[in-house]
Amino acid sequence: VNAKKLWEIALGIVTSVGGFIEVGAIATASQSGAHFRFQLIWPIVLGTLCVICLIEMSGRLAAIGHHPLPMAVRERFGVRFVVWPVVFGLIVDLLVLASEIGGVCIACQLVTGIKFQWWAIPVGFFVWAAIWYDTFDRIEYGISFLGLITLVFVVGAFHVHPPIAEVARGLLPTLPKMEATHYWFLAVSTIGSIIAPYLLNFYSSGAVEDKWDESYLIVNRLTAGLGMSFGMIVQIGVLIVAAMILYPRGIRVERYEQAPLALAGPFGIWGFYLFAAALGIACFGAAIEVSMDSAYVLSQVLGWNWGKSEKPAKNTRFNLTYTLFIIPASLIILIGTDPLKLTLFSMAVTTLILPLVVLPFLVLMNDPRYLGKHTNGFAMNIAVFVIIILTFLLAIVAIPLEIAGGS
Amino acid sequence: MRISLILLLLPLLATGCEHPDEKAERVDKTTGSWSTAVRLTAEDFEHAKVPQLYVKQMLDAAQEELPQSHKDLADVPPTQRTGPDARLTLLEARVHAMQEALDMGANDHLIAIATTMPVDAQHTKSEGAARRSRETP
Repeated sequence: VNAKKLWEIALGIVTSVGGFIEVGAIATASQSGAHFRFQLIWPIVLGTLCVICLIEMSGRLAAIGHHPLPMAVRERFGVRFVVWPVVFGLIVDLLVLASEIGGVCIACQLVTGIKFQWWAIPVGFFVWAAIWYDTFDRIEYGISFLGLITLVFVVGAFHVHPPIAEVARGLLPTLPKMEATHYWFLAVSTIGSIIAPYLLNFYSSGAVEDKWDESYLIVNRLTAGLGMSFGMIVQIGVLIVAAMILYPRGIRVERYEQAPLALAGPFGIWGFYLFAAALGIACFGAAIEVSMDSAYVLSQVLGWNWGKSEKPAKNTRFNLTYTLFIIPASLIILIGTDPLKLTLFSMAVTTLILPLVVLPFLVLMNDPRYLGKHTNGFAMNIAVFVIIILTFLLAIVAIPLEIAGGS
Repeated sequence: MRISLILLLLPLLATGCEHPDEKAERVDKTTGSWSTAVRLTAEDFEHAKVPQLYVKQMLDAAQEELPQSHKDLADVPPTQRTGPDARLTLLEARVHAMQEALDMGANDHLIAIATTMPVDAQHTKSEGAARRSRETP
């Protein structure tokens, strides 16, 4: 590994840490800590283990097969096979994008006092402008470096001195003593917030744009493993501050407005502003990634030109796709949809489409025509398959129950 | 296909209607949560830990959310909803009074009202215990 590769590994890890936290991570971890103390740390760990495997796989597919994920699936299984996964994927992307835009709007509301709905259009415009005018590297690295502000949650977690034994017990799944439905719903949403299909498409498309080859396998492995693990620690940090500050007082985080209290406790007024900044920056970065994902998926599946390396005039349909995608997402927030409820719902729904995305991906990753001698090992296949199917089954039961319960 | 549909609908049928006891308990928890959140916000404001505009946002959010709890209680039998309803109404009145105090710039009055608000009893068994836990970082 030469100096250039070491630099890329460091950059990749920083990017993963800075980009790990987004609206779903903050919403699910805050509510998990506030409702169930440390009991829901295990879905964060489980989701991260799975996403490490999936991110590593998508990077490997790009480096060896020189294909981004959606394009490879379309090529391997045909257009008819990918129609419904793409349609469902785009619907979920739209909900997730609306949630991310909602997160930025809430951050703006916290700082200015102006209601979040009023920020929907300006935020949508800035997301669009950032993609339109910036290069891929500047988007990826710039936002991720700014996203390191989310490390404030880790500092906060140390500051509140959590009981280590209880935190460690949260690593193992346990049955809830009360509110079982909400417990499982939050578990599903947490996993959905981590294993986001847009991450896989974005990562593999970026790797193809950066012209990865076999020499990048080690960069890929370390970026996925270390970057995601550090990101997981940030998400656990969010949960711990909520568990230490909000849970003992019975504050259940039913609106985003209640969440900054978790950081205002340990850090005072700076904690309040850091919370707003972390929420705003993390969600802004994720909003860009989700918007670009919609364009990547549609362009790659339909065989259009795609990529951020070219000027918009060269990839008109690619650029038109994310432009059109941002508009309805902003409108969802503009009409006053509760961003927290939307976030939890969209994260849970994400788990329902995971089998549609991951199972064909697993087939691809075992195809020597794409991966040569770098196909998946047995353990990775089984681990990813079991986690995805279990999460899917859990989601089928938990989501209707949560809706029926009126939460 | 039919079996899959039944399996999907089974959880919905099993819990299609939330039990009145559970609903009343949920409303009580929500009331307690908002009560504590509003009180903590006012106390943080007193100690300059949050800006004034955040206090207004918290009060607005509480005023937007609490009416939904009234609607939820409408399905609960009168004997079971008396307590939760009274606590909810009291909280709404206090939040409204705090909003008025804030609008008039009477910050001392706002904090005085906040200190009369009970903290949630779900996790903290007494107000004294709650105060002690608040003092921890």
